[in-house]
Amino acid sequence: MNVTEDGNVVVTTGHPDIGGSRAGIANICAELLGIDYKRVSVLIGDTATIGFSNLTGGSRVLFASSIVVTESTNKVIKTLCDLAAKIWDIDPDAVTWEDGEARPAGANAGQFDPLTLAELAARANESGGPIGAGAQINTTGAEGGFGTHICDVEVDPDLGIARVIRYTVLQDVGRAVHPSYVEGQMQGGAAQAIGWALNEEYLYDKDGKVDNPGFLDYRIPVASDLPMLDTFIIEIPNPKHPQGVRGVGEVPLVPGLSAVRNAIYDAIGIRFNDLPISPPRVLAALDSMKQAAE
Amino acid sequence: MSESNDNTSNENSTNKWIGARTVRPDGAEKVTGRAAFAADATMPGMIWGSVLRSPHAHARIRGIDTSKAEALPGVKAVMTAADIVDFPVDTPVPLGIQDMRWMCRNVVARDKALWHGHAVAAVAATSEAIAEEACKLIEVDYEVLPFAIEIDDAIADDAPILHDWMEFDGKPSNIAGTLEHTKGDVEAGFAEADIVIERDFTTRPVHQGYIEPHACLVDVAPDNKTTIWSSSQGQFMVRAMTGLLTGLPQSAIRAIPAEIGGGFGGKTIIYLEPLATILSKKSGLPVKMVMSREDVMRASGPTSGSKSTVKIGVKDGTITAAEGIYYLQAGGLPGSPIRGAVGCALAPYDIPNGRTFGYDVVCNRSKVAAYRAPGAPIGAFGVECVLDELAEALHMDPLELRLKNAAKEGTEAVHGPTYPLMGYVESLEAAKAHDHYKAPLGPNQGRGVASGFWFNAGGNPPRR
Repeated sequence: MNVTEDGNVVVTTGHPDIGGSRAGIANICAELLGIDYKRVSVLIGDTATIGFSNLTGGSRVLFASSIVVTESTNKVIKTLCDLAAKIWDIDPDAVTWEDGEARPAGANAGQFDPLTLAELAARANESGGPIGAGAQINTTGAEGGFGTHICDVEVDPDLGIARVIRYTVLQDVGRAVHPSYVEGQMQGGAAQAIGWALNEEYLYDKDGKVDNPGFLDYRIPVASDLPMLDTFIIEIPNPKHPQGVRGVGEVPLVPGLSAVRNAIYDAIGIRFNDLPISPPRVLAALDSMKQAAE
Repeated sequence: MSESNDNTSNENSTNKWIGARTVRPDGAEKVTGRAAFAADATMPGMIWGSVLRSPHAHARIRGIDTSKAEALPGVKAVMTAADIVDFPVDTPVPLGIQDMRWMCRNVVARDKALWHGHAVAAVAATSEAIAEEACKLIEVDYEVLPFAIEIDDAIADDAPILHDWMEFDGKPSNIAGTLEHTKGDVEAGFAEADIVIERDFTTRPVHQGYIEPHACLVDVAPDNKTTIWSSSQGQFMVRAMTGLLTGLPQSAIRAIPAEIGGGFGGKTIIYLEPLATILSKKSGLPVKMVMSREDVMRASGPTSGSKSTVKIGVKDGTITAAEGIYYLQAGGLPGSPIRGAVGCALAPYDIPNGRTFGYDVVCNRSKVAAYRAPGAPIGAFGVECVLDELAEALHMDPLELRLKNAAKEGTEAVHGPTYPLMGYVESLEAAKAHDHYKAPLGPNQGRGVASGFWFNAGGNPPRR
């Protein structure tokens, strides 16, 4: 992390952004420094420009990067306070950082006007040098995530099409650093589960060749297939993380297969134990049920 | 800046930015088309790579003759498995959750083509069309073998065996490995139960469905300094795997992550980069390779299909025992996510006697790659379905049955850990209290609920 000479902040991390980690990092950095979010720029480095970082996966990226960003930001705050102390000629322990500026810690420290991040950045080179810090940490302390889904379906008995008409994802995310992205992860996982439950499958021909290698015949849900997927964010902070973050992205795919299947049972009284519950299978099952009744 | 979060349990916070719906930093470039994905990368002198893929689901490769391809005007380089480092099958070489023995056989077929679409060779030429034409001129001597794709076919007594070194129970097998978790005594637990339900389940293989196919641009300079632009979930993984598979030192490789159009776990390994690296080294030119959607579906890892049996017993609505047996398809090389299936299946519940067992089964289709909570949806599916049936048998609301048996802080999970503070009960109570749960339903409409868990990764176990 570096403070630019014009008083803004550049943060470089090593994880590709697949779900909003850049925005989450900027939120955390802006909060800790007490500056406007727009003054924080987050970049993703390559293997030559940033230290080793593990994969973006396993729902770890915001959990892990916020730990190193928090540590780096705290080091930068210390440097800023040390610089203010030097300018005021007081003990560094007598300086605090609040709302984006260095202030004397109390009346005993002396009467000085606060120095903002921009003011300190402008004076950095004349006294002490550039302001920056880094961190490379083995980011342990991740804790598991739990969720519950509610799914409503409507089944067309003539076409065998089961349609999700309402869906709610309820999940403990620890801390929603950026709620829109958190919701996006919850919705995305649910959408993939719905596709897995209702339509997606590989079809092979007699030579073992995939017969449906494209989105026309390998049917993932599209916007017209789904209602707005609702979310309910629960925050039980992870005690081992500076902001309480838990991984979010993977949990929401887990309950969906069964939530859809259980909804279909409630709708038409048939328990499907084999996925996908696609229209031909629904029709065949409805026909069997009709024949059995006759 | 902060909108009120009426869809959260959180009280008003004193934070200004944490919890705020700030503008996404990559929004403008994505909606205007300026965002730079791997397929957008170019370098002066760039040529195009194309992959020849196996037309057989299972075949021994007796020989490959690339001479006609090399002679086609415009072709600058050709490569096969001979150019990729061979990791012998008897020595594990782990890299994260992967093993280089399988990676070196995944990116290109070695002595056997193991699925229809398995990469067999690659060509780099001055245009995509010439590269594809050259692939057709490569002559491969295949000995076609019988194949098995479905789990039942792969574990049958007379199943075609994919790997002659693979054994299970002392005989040649397509079962690559197993994993088990146990707690207490399930037989005793089932004996105590007043209701026991046991059901069989199957799921099909499904693809992660990322909209952006795999793509890369690789340039190897004469001194081996290598630059890789790729669509991936980890540039350090790209560097490490490319180095290990091509023999180039990692310090010579600069792996740059382009903007990524979805991965969901499918881009935590590489397919094209080692091939492009060899082609670039041989041709002396930057090589671009982009998968078509068809390539992605034929040759990149989806997640496993599965078959499972789940049995749960309750007494007065309290679970006394639970057992899940899972078979997961690995594809042509070992490594299905049995860990996620057997670890997560029973995780939301406080179970005194539990057992989960997973079989990793190889078969003749593309090797699986991670897909968003790998294995866990498969593990949870049967459990959540049986719980639904038990709730009905008990005349209990399905959320109530889960609440009665919910894991909490201090619960010992069947897969090992004792849970710290976490919010599973809160998710059930929030579901019960939610408007959705009370909304009326019309004809042919129905409502279902289910729960789930994922481990969540972070770092490595601490150094001792």
